[in-house]
Amino acid sequence: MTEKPAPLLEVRDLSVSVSRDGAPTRILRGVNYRIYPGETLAIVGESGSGKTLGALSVVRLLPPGAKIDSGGVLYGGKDLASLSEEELREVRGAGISMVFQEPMTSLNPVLTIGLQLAEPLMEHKGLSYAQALPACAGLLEKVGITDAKNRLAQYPHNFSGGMRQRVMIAMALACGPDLVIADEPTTALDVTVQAQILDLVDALKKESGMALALITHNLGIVAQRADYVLVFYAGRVFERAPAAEFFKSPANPYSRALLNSLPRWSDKPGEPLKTIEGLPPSFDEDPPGCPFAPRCPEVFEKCRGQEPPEFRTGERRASKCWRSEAGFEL
Amino acid sequence: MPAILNVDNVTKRYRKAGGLFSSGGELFTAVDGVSLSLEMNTTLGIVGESGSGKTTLAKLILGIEKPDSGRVVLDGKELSSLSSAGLRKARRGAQMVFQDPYSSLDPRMKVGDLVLEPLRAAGEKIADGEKTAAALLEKVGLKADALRRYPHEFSGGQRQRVAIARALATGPRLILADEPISSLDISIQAQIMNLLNELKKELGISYIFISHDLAAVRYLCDFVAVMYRGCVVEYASAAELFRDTRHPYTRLLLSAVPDPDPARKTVLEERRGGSGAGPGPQACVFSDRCPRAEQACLGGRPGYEEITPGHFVRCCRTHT
Ligand SMILES: Nc1ncnc2c1ncn2[C@@H]1O[C@H](COP(=O)(O)OP(=O)(O)OP(=O)(O)O)[C@@H](O)[C@H]1O
Ligand SMILES: Nc1ncnc2c1ncn2[C@@H]1O[C@H](COP(=O)(O)OP(=O)(O)OP(=O)(O)O)[C@@H](O)[C@H]1O
Ligand SMILES: [Mg+2]
Ligand SMILES: [Mg+2]
Repeated sequence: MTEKPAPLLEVRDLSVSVSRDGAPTRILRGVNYRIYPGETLAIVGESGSGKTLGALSVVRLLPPGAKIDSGGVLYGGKDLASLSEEELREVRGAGISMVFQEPMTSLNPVLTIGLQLAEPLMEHKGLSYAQALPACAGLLEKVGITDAKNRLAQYPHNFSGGMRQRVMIAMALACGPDLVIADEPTTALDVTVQAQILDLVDALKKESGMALALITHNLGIVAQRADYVLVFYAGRVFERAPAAEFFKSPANPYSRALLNSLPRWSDKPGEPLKTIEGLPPSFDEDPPGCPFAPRCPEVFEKCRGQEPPEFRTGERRASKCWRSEAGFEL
Repeated sequence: MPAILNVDNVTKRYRKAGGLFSSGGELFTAVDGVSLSLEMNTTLGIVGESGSGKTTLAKLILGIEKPDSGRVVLDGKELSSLSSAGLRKARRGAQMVFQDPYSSLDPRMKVGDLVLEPLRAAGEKIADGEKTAAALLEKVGLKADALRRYPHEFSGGQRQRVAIARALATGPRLILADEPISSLDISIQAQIMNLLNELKKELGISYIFISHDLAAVRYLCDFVAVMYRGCVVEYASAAELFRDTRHPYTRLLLSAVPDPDPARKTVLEERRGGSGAGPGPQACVFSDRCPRAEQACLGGRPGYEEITPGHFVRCCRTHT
């Protein structure tokens, strides 16, 4: 029997709140998952469900007012909460790197692209600016930006939306990280460039065992590239499953509803697309029961009274739904 | 039917070494002789390579950028002939949802005010601001408690919806939406697409829908323009374009769409690496990456050819 490798990252019972009108509001509730070396983990789910906050908690870059209430993150077996700010910077540069959701707000508008790309190489690899530049040009070319030499002298506003995203990706890959957390990194890329970048990432995964946590709404990418899937709803992980099983037999009614709203090539233009009726609960109110119950097509009595725990439904599979409870029959 | 928009041979160049204050240096053609027209109450999809000039074209259409040559006629008015007051008025009838929602929302304004700002900018009197704003937010699936919050308190997809609500505020006749749904979850994507279709039916709005999501484009659009390196390389009705795809770049694009069924592995059409600097000014813009390129493609830029009624292709090899 081969031994299971140690997880690269382990998120344990993570709960996070933000401050709203001066009062703390709980967003993430008891999030659990693991990422193994060389694995692509896809994080999908409702908009506003806490995917970005979850990622930012991992690298300890939460916005002002947001804080981790309980639980934690182990990286290579070490609790990230126990690290000093300096050790954390080291981890962020060379161990775990992050591609942020909005490139325009994370790129500095008054610095050239070259300077910004060179920065992680200068800080973590000890290169000078002149030494880093050829590497930067190489990185730009790898993400499909031609004429790299001229491009390095330009500013973010000279780049198209998709080019800015690619700069963010190049920056994240610069120092050969163990784990890249990418928050919707390809929304502005055409599908051929997207394929090129995902191929590049796949190659790095094979070469160096790099892992990827990919937050995305694009289920096509998930189906084609992910090994493992997490589904978020209302600050909770509603389902965790190996990707192939997730698509074949989604266990959670929210997962099923999500997969059903996908526009298919067979949909008739003009005919309304399926959506999930109703709105997600606001985080300020905290009604009892399952947060999806008011919208769930499979709701029954118990769902409204008591929130379901996470039920284990198989090897690395779990679902937060009373219908996933062992022995549940219709 | 009358056209809401006519874009006539529009070109826009930028400086290559684009320092903030520098002048001089080589020029780079971001939009290269594009012509398009859009009938009232139709949806035009613009798809294409990242960096091919889609956002720049949208900015030219709204008069945010000025073309180096060519002209844009928006709702019967030629933009270059308008005074700045006239331009402001024209923009009221044509709203844009920008690609990067966060940087287009003023972080110091509450969402309720952000949503009403275009109305106020147009000098409109608003009787019950709160109600108007709440109704706009509801259309995009946000609760009224969003009104008194600031943009940073929202997730990426929620901000995007604020941007869409804002664009709807003035009741525009044309909406240019630059990648408006890719940062939303699929259920909300579907909801927004349904909303766009409803408004089109009810109010006769026209749309330009810039997107990399080809399934969404096929579902939503009446016509599609495919851009590559500043040029429109193929143009047809959506039904025709997806049924009888002619340009090698469009084919490559379609083959690269990741299939949401893991059992069907996406296999890209053959492509070539591309030469870095790109093809010379005489050659077809796609010739350095085109799997079908031959000598003829390097010698002259193909013209725009109507191969079947309403279906235009720029390719030397259309007939071979
Ligand atoms: N700084 C903040 N202050 C207050 N509330 C916040 C803050 N950041 C996020 N939130 C709230 O927390 C919730 C989760 O936000 P998050 O950005 O993690 O969502 P997400 O899952 O990444 O969504 P999307 O897919 O739209 O990007 C949202 O409802 C948002 O309104
Ligand atoms: N202000 C500017 N100065 C210099 N170059 C620019 C400027 N704006 C755009 N460009 C260049 O023009 C080209 C077209 O950019 P544009 O933003 O229109 O592309 P796009 O098709 O919208 O791409 P994406 O899908 O990545 O958003 C790019 O090569 C870009 O670098
Ligand atoms: Mg997010
Ligand atoms: Mg763009």
